[in-house]
Amino acid sequence: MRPTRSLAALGQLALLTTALMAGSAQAKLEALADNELSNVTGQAFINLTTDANAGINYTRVNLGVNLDTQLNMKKLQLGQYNDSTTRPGEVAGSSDILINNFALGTVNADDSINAFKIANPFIELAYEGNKVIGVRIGFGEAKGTLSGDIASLTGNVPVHIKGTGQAIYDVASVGQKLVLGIGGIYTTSVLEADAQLVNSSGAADPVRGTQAGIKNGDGLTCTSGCAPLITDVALGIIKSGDCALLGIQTCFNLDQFKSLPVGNLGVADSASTAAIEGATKGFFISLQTKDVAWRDLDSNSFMTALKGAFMNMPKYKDANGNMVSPINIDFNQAFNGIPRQDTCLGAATSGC
Amino acid sequence: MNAPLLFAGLALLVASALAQAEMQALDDQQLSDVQGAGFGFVLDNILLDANNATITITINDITNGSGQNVPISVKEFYLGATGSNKGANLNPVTIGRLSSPFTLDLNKGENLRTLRDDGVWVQTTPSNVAVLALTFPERLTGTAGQACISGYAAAGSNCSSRASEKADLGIRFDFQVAAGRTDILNIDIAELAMDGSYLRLWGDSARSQLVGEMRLNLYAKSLTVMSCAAGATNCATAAEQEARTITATNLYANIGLGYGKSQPLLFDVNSNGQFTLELPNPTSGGTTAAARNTLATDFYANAPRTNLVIDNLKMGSGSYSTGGYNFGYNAIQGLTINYLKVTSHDL
Repeated sequence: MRPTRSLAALGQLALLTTALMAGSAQAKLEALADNELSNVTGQAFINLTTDANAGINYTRVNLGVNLDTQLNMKKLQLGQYNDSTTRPGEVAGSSDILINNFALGTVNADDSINAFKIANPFIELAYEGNKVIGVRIGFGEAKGTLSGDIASLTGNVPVHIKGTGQAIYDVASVGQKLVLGIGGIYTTSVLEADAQLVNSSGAADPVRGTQAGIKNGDGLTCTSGCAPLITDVALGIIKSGDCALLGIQTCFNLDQFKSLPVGNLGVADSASTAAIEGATKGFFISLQTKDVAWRDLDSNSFMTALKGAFMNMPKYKDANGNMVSPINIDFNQAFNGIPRQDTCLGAATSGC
Repeated sequence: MNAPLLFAGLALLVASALAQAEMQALDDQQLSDVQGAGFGFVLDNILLDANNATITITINDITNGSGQNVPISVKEFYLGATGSNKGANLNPVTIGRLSSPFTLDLNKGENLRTLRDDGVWVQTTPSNVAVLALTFPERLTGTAGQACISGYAAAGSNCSSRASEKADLGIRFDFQVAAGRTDILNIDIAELAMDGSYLRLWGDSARSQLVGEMRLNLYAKSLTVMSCAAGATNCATAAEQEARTITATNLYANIGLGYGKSQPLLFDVNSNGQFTLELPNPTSGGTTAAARNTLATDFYANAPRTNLVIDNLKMGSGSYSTGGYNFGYNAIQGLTINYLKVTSHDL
């Protein structure tokens, strides 16, 4: 009760000051007795929950606040170290997470703000016995645009690519177009693929990744407009390998994805409730000394964060309840990137 | 010195049931002419040693998942001179000195200055307002400046506190988070300085409320957090304790909240005890694009930015092969907040 009682006291002080400032104030103030004061209670906006899984105990401090913000930072850098034992094969001087010109929320042309909305942020510690092995900062709910020049990323960043075959035909050679046509894939065919953090050879690599793409052995699926059976057979054979599928690029530099949606931005909040409609649950950044399973606040299951610094950008639910990747792009965006949205007031658009 | 006397006087007036005098409010212009000389103070030979005391706090608002209060025990608190070896060898410390003291004064907004990251002093508070300012020992530019963190130039050399005027600080919290389970956080900070920190408050007549700006600067040679009680199981030897310690070396934070000229920090509490903290859009006062551009340019050039830098962070020994981990360099740099609104609610 102490903090909120202090808040109440602040409120009383403000009222007292107002009363004093009023030139014609006549009301008589009555002091509260101790027992009366003890009945003045604030609200419980902090609580603490515990959890356990696989021999690890968790303590999470939950903060009952809604936080709307629009901010910029020159650099967000976590885990910049060179340790050939811990991080074999990584580029010297690279970081687990390095995002330049990081921003949350966007700015409109008239300098009004589209805030990044956060509800119920938390801090959580993971204990193995009496040893802290991990700490994470997360958001119970989040929705908004996250921007930045991503130099390297360690974590979970689901990407879903969906679009017509036209974009693939646009970058395909004559020979590739012939193969696509024989396989029953046309310019109007709707194709989809899941992508993730990969290295420059197309192997899944969630550590200090600089590219997202279709990992080796994965391919496309056709959801409409393809030749029945023929395409299924063709796509069953055609797989991505070494960042290419039929010679077409399937890995893309992360730094070309400048502004990413967190949560479903297409759903408007209701003025009658404090809820963040379309929010994603479970966005977090963590540090751990070993691979640690943290509870996913959306699915309520545990998900593993790799040793080191780790960023989890979870999927969110669309209007039909389907899980949607935070980076949800078409083939043109995959090839050409997602442009940066304005995150600065005044003339600048980034780096402010 | 005038401020406490003023408050005491006001309190007497309120307490008196027979008070009849009519008080006249000062307008902004009159208030801006009120200038106390203020006063400075130095914490001379201060030593706080509660190593053998235990304070158990039960804060009703902090509950566990079952809604039960979480008792928090505060132990091993100390504040003393540097070189204390985590409080084992405590000596008095003098924080601040007569030429660079803590100050509390009432001053005009145009007389107050803030040190920008590039070493330029700028005015951040609006003119023609009377500002109540609590300021830590100020930073110094030029050759008079001292290293904010010894041996770590990146933290700057514009602190006024000399090496002997920094402090060691420690505190231990025991959280009884569940039946049979107590989480321990034993925090020790070495060579702490807070030069250039301030809190400034003034009345905003347009908003009809108290507003302010604050800057919190923290510089430390090291910060350690041990998660066990020394002497307990698995926490007796130096190696066991190191394995259960998070160590941050050469760390500093410059946290800026509010830019008085165009983005004062607003704080309010409603009748339900919930609070709202807000940093408004600094261009909201501009009615044309040109005016907004001017406000934005001034804001980005002069508003204090937030930095949080840890030169090295490790858990345990820092060696992965022995169960520790080296997280290396970690930083948030050049943070500006164009808009912020924080509202508390029940959980």
